[in-house]
Amino acid sequence: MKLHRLASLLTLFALLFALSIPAYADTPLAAEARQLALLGRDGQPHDVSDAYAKAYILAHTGRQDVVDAMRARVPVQPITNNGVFFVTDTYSSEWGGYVSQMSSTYGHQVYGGFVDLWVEQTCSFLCGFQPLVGSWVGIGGIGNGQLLQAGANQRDMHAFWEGLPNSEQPLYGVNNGDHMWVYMSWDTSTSMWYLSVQDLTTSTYSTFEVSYTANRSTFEWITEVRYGGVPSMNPVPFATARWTDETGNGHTITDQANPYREILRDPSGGCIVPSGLSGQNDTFTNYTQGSC
Amino acid sequence: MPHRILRSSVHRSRAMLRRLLRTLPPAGAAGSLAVLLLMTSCAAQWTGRAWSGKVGIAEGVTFASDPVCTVAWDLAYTAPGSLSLLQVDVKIPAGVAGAAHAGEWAPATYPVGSAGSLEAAAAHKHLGGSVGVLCPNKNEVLNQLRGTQVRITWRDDAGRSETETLTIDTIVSGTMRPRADPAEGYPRVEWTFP
Repeated sequence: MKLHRLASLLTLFALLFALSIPAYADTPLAAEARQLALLGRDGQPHDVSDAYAKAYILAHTGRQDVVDAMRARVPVQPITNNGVFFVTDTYSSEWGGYVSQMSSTYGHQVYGGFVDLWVEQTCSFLCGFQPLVGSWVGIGGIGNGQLLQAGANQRDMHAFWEGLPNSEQPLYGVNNGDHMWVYMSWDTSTSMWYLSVQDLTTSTYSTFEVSYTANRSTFEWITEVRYGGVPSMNPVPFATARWTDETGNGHTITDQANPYREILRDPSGGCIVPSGLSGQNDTFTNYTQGSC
Repeated sequence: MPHRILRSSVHRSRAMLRRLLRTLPPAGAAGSLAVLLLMTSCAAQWTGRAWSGKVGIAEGVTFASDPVCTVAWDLAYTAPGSLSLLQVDVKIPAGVAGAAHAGEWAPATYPVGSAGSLEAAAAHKHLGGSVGVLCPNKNEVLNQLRGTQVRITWRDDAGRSETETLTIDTIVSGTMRPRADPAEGYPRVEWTFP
């Protein structure tokens, strides 16, 4: 009888132990997340697998079109200093676009965001001597030096990511008029930032994670000009702009945040002026103007 | 906690200046006012038990088409020995427009694995940092930011956990920019006084 009771107790304990293990604990994606978390301690970016990236994007954004366009992968490279910085400090007048600033009214923090944008080339000859132009999305950086950003370098025509104080990190080449999708998100499975920088026109993409402490009080959708005046270029469209909060909910630029429309005013007179918001307050275009 | 802020010295300086203004001819008043402004800049100084340096609230800094109101600290570790496990938390006073977590302690953000990191700050015993908000209503927000607290926690040579808390309430006539130059190897704040 005692043996019978003991066997029942052991069975019960075994059952409880099995139930206490999360269902995902032994899945390949969970194992990859654990591995990423270990790798990320070096501060370098690390590629995620296609399976991980597709599952992550579908779960957090529902963008099947983005997943379908993941065909030509370009691995992320270790961080190097190439001397090209989109921002070296964040008190500048080099940004035109929109900023969503968190407020105590809602108490949210930024846990990610994304946008569709279109590449507009600004230079085709002796570009190293021309102003640096880029369109990107970023987390943080206003009043602090903690800015994580990704987008398109429109002078040197490549996709890039950058985490201050490091320089920009080129990913792959892009073409004039390409449709890009840029996504950054805090991956709670790894405590790292997940980045996906995709050229939907050419189906080229880079997708990786990196350890970085971005300031979570702002999310930005920006066209930036540095090292010179505002060049002549076609308008840069931004669409389906979202930032995500600590619960994973997506918000448009004006939703549950203080929105700011920032105009780039170059001292020589050139400007980048964002249009008013349209769609669901998630779409705008950055125009160049001779004065503003 | 045995720390002292030089707020009292500011009051003493202002009282001295008031006495000067009573005795100086009116023609000298403008010059004295300029001195007052300069003293306000110089008074952005923190001298604590283990950390000393410049602190302040910046006015007149712009970001694209909107000003940014910033609280910044640039401190050197003056206690003997080394330090590790450095952590910085900030409490912005409740009610500051545009601050996500006003009235609560929140960790200050630092990059990972670079010259701007807390590890680099600990290794060089030099800690710069800032928090800021876009503030179209600049003067109102600058005043609201007075009383911002910065709490520094670290472990000393003996393995003891130490804490020092700064209160920053001086509005500085100038600008400040966070820097993390790889050649220097640590986060700092660049101050520009008019």
